[in-house]
Amino acid sequence: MNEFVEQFLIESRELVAQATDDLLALEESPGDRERLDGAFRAFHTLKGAAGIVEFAAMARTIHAAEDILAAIRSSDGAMAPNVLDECLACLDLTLRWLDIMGTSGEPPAAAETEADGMIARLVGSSEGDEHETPLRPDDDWQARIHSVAGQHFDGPRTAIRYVPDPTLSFRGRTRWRSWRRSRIYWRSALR
Amino acid sequence: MIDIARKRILVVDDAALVRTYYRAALEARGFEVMEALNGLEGLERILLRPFDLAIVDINMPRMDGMTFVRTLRSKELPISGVPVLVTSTEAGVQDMAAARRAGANFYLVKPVKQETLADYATIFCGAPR
Repeated sequence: MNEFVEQFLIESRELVAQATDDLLALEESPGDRERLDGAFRAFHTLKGAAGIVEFAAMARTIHAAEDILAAIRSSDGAMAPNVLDECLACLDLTLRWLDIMGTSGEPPAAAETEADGMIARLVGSSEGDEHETPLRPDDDWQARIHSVAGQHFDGPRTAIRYVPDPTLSFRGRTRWRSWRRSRIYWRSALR
Repeated sequence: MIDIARKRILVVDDAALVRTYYRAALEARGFEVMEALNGLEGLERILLRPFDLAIVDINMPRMDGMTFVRTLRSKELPISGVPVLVTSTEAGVQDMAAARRAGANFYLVKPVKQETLADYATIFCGAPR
């Protein structure tokens, strides 16, 4: 293990502990700006440290959390409980990665996939329930589709609702890849 | 020929790992390196003893990198014109423009490879690569 990885592991654990401490304090006092600044700075430094040891999955996961904290800082708003929970989960995941890296000296093999999931959770928590919300009851989507393309339907068809993946920029993937991973709402066949 | 060993560089960054990483790169090239943990400490050091280059982070406690550069440039002192190389994880065009407006000479987005950092330091210190 090279000297930078050794120092990275020590400092990152300290930063995770510091960020956790600040987030738990925010749980008690959601409007505490000093704690919010402290948490933001810890995430920011963690991201930079991950970059030095070329741990890309950690860098982009922490970046997602840092962006959320930055948005809260600039909005003068308080931290919502679900956002706080996901930021703590992000730190738990980071700590687990650090443990694995402490043994192998390398970033964990599963980190990229785990990062995708964590980023989606972080972004989802900061955007409320927008992506979980079903279509409005008064939205007659079948009629809308029929009015546009009804004459082409001959027999059962499947309608797909596409919600663009908000984590796209963190994963650096194409829109097609994003489409395949985004939440897709399947509806019963049109008659 | 310029003597690199006589060139002094101040690294201002709150992350110890970054300071160690930069120091290793710069010392391997022959520079003398001093460290500061934030902008305020950086100003204190630079006012006590001149440097040939300051490598400065943006997001730091107590005094950030932008304030450090602005404060440095606002003084009418011989050291006020020292070259400042900003390194930051912020990769936005607006971040780079803000650093330039504050008085930074150049901006590198972290993570910066050791070789790259040492090359830029060499150029700013007026020595051939």
